[in-house]
Amino acid sequence: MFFFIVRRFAVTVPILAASTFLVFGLVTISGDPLAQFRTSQSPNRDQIIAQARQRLQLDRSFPSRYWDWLKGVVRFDFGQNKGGQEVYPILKEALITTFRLVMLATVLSIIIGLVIGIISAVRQYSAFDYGTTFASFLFFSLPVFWLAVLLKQFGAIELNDYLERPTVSITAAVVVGVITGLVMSTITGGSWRKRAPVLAATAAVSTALLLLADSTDWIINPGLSPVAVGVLAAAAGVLAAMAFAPLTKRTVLLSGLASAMIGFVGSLLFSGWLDEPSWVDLGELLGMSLLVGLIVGAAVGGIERSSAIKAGMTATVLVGLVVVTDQFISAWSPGRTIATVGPQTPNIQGTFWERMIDYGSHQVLPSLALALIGLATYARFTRASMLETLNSDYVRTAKAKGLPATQVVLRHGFRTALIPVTTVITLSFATVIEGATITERVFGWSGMGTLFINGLSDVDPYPVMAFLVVVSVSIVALNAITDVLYAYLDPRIRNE
Amino acid sequence: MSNVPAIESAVGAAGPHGRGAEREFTVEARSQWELVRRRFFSHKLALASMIVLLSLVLLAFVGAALWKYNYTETSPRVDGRGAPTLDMIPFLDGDGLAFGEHPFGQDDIGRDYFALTLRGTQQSLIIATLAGLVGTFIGTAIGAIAGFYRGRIDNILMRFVDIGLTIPLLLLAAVIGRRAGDIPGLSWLFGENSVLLFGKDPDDVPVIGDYFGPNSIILLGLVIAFVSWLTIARVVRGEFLSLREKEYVEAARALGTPNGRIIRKHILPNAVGTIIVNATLLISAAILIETALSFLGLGVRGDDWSLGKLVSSCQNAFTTRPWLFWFPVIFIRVIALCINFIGDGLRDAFDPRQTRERR
Repeated sequence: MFFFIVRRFAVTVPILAASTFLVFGLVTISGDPLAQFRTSQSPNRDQIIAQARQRLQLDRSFPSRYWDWLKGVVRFDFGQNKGGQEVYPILKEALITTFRLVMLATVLSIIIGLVIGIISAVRQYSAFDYGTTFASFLFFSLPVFWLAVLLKQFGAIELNDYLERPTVSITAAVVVGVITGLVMSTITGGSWRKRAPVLAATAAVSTALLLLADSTDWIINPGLSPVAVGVLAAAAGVLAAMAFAPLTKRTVLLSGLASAMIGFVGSLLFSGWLDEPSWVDLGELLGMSLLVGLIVGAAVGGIERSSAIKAGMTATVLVGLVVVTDQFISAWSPGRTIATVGPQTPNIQGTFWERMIDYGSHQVLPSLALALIGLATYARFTRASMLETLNSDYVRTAKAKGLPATQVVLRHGFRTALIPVTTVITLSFATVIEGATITERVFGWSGMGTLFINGLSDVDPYPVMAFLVVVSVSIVALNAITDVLYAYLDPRIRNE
Repeated sequence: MSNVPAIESAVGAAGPHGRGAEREFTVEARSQWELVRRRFFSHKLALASMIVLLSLVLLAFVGAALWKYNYTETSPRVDGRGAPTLDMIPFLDGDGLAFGEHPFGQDDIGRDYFALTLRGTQQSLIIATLAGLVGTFIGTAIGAIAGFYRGRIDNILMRFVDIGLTIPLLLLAAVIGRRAGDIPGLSWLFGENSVLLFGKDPDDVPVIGDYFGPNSIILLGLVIAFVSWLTIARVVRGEFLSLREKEYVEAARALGTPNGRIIRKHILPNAVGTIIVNATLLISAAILIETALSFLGLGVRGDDWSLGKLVSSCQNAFTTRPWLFWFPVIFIRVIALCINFIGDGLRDAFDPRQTRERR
């Protein structure tokens, strides 16, 4: 496996060299870099041109300039743009901006896409399947900029109007409740006799929750009480256990629940710790959650140790998410929150969570635009891949030997189905970046895409090269990650 | 064991061409293509999409020629804003079905927006189809060779694919858009005195990039094809890698069938489902790529229109005159959706394993 990865990297080095060389050449021949100086009216025009020629080293051949650039990049020196600024700091800024945009969108679209794909494969030809198929076709064939413009026009204005005075009318609560109920009942599947109670129960519960939230002013001043956190933590524990073993396996269930409870108690004891955290603190929280899950799982797991450890870790991470979400939503207050221009409010002050709210409100629309499109692709591919595995013999065997449906779907079906899906996800990364180029332009972010497009239109090779290096290096890294994931998902590769 | 002779005698009595044997084969033999066609036609959504798409193509090419306005002529704006005169039946909030003078309204300088949209549809369809066909052809050829011969050939070809995948489409479009006129072969094909001009005046036909002439939508299609053959090549290669190990290929090889014939007659027909499905995906992706390029100013330029260019040039009119924004988008969506549904139907038709009921 190790040599496999090393070999893969060895192959990518010449590819990177060739593609950077080609792109450098393409940008160089794409136009006249001195065009803007030639039209200048100033009396010392010739001198300016001569200076620019000197600075851009235009009298040297482009392979030798490429060689210089290559030597620089190894030392993180990305050269200077046409205005004489160092590219590296600009790149760093742009990278952070785009990374924020793309990360949220990618994570959202992967999670939601996978879930939708699994459900629509399991309930093939149900209303849910047809609905999501239609919706994903709709989003799949959306021009990004059109979606972005629409979101900007409707999403921002309407949502902001709502967020200024957020209330839930009884009609709205009932409608939302019934819709949730309908969705849940189509997911449940089976005959109407089986589905009707699900519909009624879900509709009633969600309507009641909405009305409760409205009457207690929860929407204006959101947050989770310790009791709510406790209930959610227990649910997280059970869910985590269910994902990795049948609920009859007591040790796994115990591990999930115990880890979740430790997480919950921890959140009560150390609640002040999250009032003003740094990113490092949040990283530590994640590490500690994983550690607690690991220890609890190993301690109570017994013969089911590996499942118990996974369940424990999942449970604690879920609880951590609940706690962080609680902090996040508590920092929000009513107002015209959703922003449409730029990545953040300039010179933003305030606590960590207030800054997060500001980032989030700037980010929600562009990320949503990107996520909706990626989501459709992932849902389609997951569905197709799941259908293939669900119709295979070993899944039938698993059903026949009496395994619970969750186990059959998640461990026998989904795990195998993930193999082609991982490829699609990593391959589509380049598309996401390209989509981000357009989204950035619509929402006025200056990220990687802006760097690239401006470099392209100015015939300025160095910013374009910086963009290319980042994109190709991340593609190479993602490919390596895919290979590792393959080995994890497919034991045949691991044991080769 | 005792009844075996009885059956034999019964078969013998009916004879090889007797009525007994005929009754046994009551199911008519169907070729693969017949099966595919039947399955496709029983896929209602795909069939409906096919009909819609064909009528759109007819509308764009024949309808535009018959329509009373040309996409270049201007006329005074009706009611000042150039609102659409298309009217719906009363049920859909209208005063009866009417087409009116300018069903889709008029743009800023009074051009008929219906004619403009149809012109855009034409160009977008040409670009997408060209990109899809060329991309599929190149991708299939390269993928088939790489997958069939494996070894060094495969390695070299796939490294080219890898390099190609790292080159951004936008860059390629920008470079070719700006400089195609300087490249000898390209200028001969697409330049001002292009052999493809067929006597048209180079000045009034449109471009990708500032530079060169009329048939630049062809060039734009080729640019998109150059990017999209890569994925097809990968998919086809994978398919060939697994199909070449099948028993029937081995049998063909044992009989001394030449490699070219094995590829064309034995493997390709079995990979054709995947290829066609990917081709449809590619075409619908090409429409979207064209839109994105036009939005960034790297697509169709000059006086000509594509759907993408219509949307992007009208996005500022969104709040005041939304129809300028909506109609081309509806066309883009309908075309892309139809192609996707057709692809879905074809997938089910070629590979019925994914459908629960066998049709």
